[in-house]
Amino acid sequence: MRNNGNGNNSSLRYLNIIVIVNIIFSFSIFLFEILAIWIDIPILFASEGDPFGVSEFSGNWFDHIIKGMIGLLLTIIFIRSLINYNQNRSKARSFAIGGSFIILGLGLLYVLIWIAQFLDSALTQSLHEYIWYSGFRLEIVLLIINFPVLAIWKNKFKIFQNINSTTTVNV
Amino acid sequence: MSEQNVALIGNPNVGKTVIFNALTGSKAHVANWPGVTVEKKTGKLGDILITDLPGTYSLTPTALDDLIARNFILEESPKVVIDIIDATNLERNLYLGLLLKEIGVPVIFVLNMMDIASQKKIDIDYKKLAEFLQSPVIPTTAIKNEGIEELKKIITENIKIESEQNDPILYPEELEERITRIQNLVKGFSKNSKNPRWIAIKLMELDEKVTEDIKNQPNGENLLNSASQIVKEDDRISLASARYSYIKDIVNACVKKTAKVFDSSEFLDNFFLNKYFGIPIFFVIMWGIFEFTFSVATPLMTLVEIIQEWLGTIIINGLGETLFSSFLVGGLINGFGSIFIFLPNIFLMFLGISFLEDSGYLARAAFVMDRLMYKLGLHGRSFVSMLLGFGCNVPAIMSTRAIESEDDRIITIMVNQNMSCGARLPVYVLIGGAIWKNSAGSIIFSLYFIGIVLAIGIALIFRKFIFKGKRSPFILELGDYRSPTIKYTLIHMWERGREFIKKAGTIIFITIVIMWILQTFPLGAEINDSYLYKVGEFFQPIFNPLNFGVIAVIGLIFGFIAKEVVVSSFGLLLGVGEGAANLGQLIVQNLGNSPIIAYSYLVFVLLYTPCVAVIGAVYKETGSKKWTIISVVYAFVLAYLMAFLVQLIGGVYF
Amino acid sequence: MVLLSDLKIGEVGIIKNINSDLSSRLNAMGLIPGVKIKLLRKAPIGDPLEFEILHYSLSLRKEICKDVEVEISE
Repeated sequence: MRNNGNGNNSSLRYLNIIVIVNIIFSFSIFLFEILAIWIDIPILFASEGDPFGVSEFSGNWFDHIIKGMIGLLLTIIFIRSLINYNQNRSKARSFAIGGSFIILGLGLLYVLIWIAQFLDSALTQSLHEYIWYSGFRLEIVLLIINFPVLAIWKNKFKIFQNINSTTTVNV
Repeated sequence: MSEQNVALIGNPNVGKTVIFNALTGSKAHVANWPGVTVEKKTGKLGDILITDLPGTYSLTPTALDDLIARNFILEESPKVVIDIIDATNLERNLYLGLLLKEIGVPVIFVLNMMDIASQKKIDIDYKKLAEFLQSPVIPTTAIKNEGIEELKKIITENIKIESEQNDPILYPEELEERITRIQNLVKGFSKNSKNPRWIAIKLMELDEKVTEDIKNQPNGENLLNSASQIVKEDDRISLASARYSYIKDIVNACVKKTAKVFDSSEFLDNFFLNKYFGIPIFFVIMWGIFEFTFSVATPLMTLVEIIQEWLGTIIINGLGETLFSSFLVGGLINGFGSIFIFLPNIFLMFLGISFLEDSGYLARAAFVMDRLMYKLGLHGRSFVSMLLGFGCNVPAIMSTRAIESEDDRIITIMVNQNMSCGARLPVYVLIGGAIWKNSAGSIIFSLYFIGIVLAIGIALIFRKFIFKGKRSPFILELGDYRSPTIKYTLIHMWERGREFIKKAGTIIFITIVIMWILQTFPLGAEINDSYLYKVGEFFQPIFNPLNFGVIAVIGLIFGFIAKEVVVSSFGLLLGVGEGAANLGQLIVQNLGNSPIIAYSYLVFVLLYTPCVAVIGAVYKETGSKKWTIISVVYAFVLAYLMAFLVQLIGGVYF
Repeated sequence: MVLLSDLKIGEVGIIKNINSDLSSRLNAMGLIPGVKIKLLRKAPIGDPLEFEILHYSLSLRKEICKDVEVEISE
């Protein structure tokens, strides 16, 4: 097994950075979605005159709440990771990686939904429906930033070899 | 001895399906084992018939899957049994292996997942292993197709040779001495006994089935009595201990773990099974699957609609408005269209579920949800099925296959219908929106809520009054997390979706054609004079207490085929287009212009049989006409009662 | 000697005795006198329990764990 001391360090450092970035972005998503409910409500059944192009998602306050809660959950998860960093490295790292996986999954989901909405609009000739909004851009950024976590996980046996595993029981 | 019969066996999640596909080329024939709802897959390797036995950890007669596997081996006498073993989990996997050797049937061991074993620095001397087991051992990594050719070779070779009776693997002397004595009793009892040693061992274990089979034979009681003089109380545990003792010896001799390796599954479980975050994470993941299924399906569904319209237009333009063209459009194309419109949803949902299952997460979901489900009379695995029901009840019901116990499975299937599926939503939106413009959302939410509450209540009632008695156990292996391979996830998705197409598809198609016939004839008549209307008039009196008129009743009849059709049927009968802006208003008017009656109609739509496809799925998963009929009848009665209750409380009668 | 259901998180027990009509199935899962078993965690709502045994992870409801006697080791 090639001793990749420097490689490991840079991977671990990246993980540390991502946690902070993820906290900021997740919290932003939470704020944005909750705000969108307030901006949305008066425009709930109107279709003109919304400068943010947010009315496409109007009537969907339920959706905003769900996405907001997810943003909040992720924020808390990464904050936990930060808090645990010194006492329980393994737990902190597992939260960081798990949280990243969730972000990656949701990010991929949004890309697929965006493509699907685009296709649907093209088919039904109602092209105005899929305009992207700032929240969506946040999700793309998160997806890109967390992408390297996949590569890090592929090398998990090298990178995390020193993390205490809890399994010790033999036959 | 069946010359060309081979059986495949192994613990769950060892890659048995992958190997089965690799050997038989995915041309599997799928049926059910007779009398039960467990799936039986058979396929061919050249001239050899391979039967895929259910995944089991042992051959205990009190567990259905075990019993099926055991009976097959004992009764069909396959020439060879192929036991697939997970190389990273040798100890537990070998237990089944030893049980197989005990039966005396020739075994070929496949040591699968060698790639993961090597990642975990587990080094297995498989040649030595073969010596200990006195059977061939072939290392494979099935998903990378490594070792498969070698396996095929060994199988075809072993099929041809006459199996030499290996010496059985011996138990400790004290046990062997008594085994021999009972064996002699058995031989004395039945000179043609195929496998006296095995029977003797089973008698020592107080095996329920062997005991019963002997009891049913003339003089069987005598044999049992004599045997019981020799059997000691803790023989069962002694035999099990002896097996594991041997396994320990094998592992010590053949397996070297060269280094302690990072346990990635344990690591991830700290997150996914965390005390505080475990449940929220589970809901986020399920929400993700839902969003995926519905949003990505939308353009595909639109595509189906567009193609349907386009074909319809071509035919009308080409053939004019004749009876034949009406049949083509209203019967055939409409029929196929109604099936195809389901497919994107179904396939995507199965894709999502296959992904979760292959990744290993689904077992965690069952683990996390079990306590709640248990209190509701269900099983941890029921929860995912229930959630899926909010999308579409058909794949939800099909997913109950993963629930081990028949009781839990049937209850889950019965109450699944109350999970309001996506197809009912347009009806709620249209009618709900027409009555209460600004609170349509709350109306809809209330319907979902009623569905859930009733599901819980009925599950408890079923459990308390109908399925009394022992609850099935929760013994679940939480296997390693794995990255699902695209190829196999797609294969799983396809296998399940294909079933839906065959079963549900036929029913839906036939019903649409019948509907077309009823609504077109007598020729030339107005819609109000068609046979369809007459059918509605025939059934309408049943609904008098609910104040539903003929048109509303016909809507329900159409809704029986597929809920999406309710809206368009109203459009048809009220003489306006489906997209008409005032359709909702017209419907409410038709329902006595009363919000309460309209709401009760929605409640009825919520609770009665979702659609014909669901009936097909229920029949397939329960394998029982009785339960299928019960599911339809109870849904109807429940819908009727609740709708009536709504009107009663709403003051319709005062 | 304690019941398997009384094990604390992280504790390792050696199986001594099983008193259940599911004993055959438990045997096949590795629950056999002399085998070591460790409680890894409890489900978020407290039940079922997740154990490590024979290098794999097994979950069981508390009620069945009450049928298994273990002796605490380490």
